[in-house]
Amino acid sequence: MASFSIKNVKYNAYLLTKKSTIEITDRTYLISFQEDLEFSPGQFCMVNVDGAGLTRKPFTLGRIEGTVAISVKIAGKGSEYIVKTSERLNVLAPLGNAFVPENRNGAVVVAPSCLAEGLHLSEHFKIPLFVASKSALSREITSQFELNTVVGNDGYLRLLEELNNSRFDWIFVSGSRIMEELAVRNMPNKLVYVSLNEYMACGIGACKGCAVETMNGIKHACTDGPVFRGDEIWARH
Amino acid sequence: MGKALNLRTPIVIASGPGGFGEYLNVSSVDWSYVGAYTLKTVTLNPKSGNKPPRMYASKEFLINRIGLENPGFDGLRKMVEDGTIDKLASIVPLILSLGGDSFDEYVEITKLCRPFLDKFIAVEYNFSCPNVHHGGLSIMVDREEWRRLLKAIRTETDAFIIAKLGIESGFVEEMARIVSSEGWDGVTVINTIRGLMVNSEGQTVLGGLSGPALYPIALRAVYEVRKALPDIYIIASGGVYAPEQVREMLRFGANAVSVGSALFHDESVLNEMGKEFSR
Repeated sequence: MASFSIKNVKYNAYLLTKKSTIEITDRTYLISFQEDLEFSPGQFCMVNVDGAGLTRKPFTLGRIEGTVAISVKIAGKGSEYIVKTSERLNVLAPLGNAFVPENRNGAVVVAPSCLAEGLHLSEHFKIPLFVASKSALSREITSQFELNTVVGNDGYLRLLEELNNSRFDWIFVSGSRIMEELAVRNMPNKLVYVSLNEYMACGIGACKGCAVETMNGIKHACTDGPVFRGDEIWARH
Repeated sequence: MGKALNLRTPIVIASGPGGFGEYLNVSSVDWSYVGAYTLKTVTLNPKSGNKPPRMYASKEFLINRIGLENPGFDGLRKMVEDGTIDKLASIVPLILSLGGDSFDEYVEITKLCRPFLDKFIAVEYNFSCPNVHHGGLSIMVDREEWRRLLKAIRTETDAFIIAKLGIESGFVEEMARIVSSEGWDGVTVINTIRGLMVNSEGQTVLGGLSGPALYPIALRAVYEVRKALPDIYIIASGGVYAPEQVREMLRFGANAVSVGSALFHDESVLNEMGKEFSR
């Protein structure tokens, strides 16, 4: 339901200069920036794509070795612009709610398209990171904390089974919708958090475009999320 | 001449994309360049909107099927009582947008809002939302009933009232003539138009079309309404993304120009648009 109380926050528009653009796997890149901006784990930004599209595109924010970064999978003209342009990017940030887990006994699972966020969460909370990729990563990723990579669907399903029987209290999953749904359905023993990547137009709660059907009615990925409890989105069987 | 709104600049935030004032939290906009902010349409009862997915964009247009999600009159009243409306209005003049599912609902919400209508510089009535089954666009289908509704609303309030018209219920200048003849102050032309697209997953998406593709249609509508009605106040709405389009809309008869989906691309375009009109 629409909220009538506007939050006492400021959304800033930044012009960010690319520091590096690294291909991690097929059509998926890690982009770091020269400028810094303040944000909390789990928050996201909206990136303007100039003439390549009418709406900004949402990306979860992360850090690589202290530098602000996003991961981008080329899915269309907008994301292609973001990866290829040498112009500064016009970015609205920080958006959405911070992810605040109840304890630090958790783990993070990300697709390469969410690697920047994964690295940030892992290092921030000092918890293991698992990267689940469809194909082998094209370069080695380093982290200040424990990092493991699994490849292919079978590898991902085995990882979910292991995590379901692990010592962790909670698992944070950020990737495609199907990847997140599989995680919720295949880890019934765990509290699973998912970072939803819905189509967004404004990113700030105005347009009501990123509606999500939850067990508690319609919510919005931008202002109620982007992180939700998995069992709020998908029933467990 | 008819009544005018005397805005500080002719730039108006369109109802819908601007939500309930959220863009006031974006630091890149200088609000002294914006003449008014139209809030999202409020209906008598809360609406949770349509099932997702609700929005798609191509390079030329957007299609949305939000479905008038809003917290109803009680939500609006709360926002008045807790001071939120005063706070927003201290930054930029507000236009209230009202809608309904029936004749009675439009009249009822008008009566209920009367005690605090002085907080708004105008009230825009949404007669043209294409994404709801009752009210919106469908209320105009029965022309005589719609005329009775215009009359009934006019007798309930002295506020500056504006009818938001689409182009799918007849010639827009004919609709505007009816609005004017019932003593209303202005029209907003146009709303989104029913569109269809097939999304990247192959699903058929039905919704209201907005974005640059709408611009020449909206410009023509402004031209026709102005030709038919020299005195009515016109807010031009549809596909305005650049300052030169604001100038063009004004040239063809608009009194003010509303900006909607362009906010999703880069809201700081409001500064460029408003700068040259700033007093």
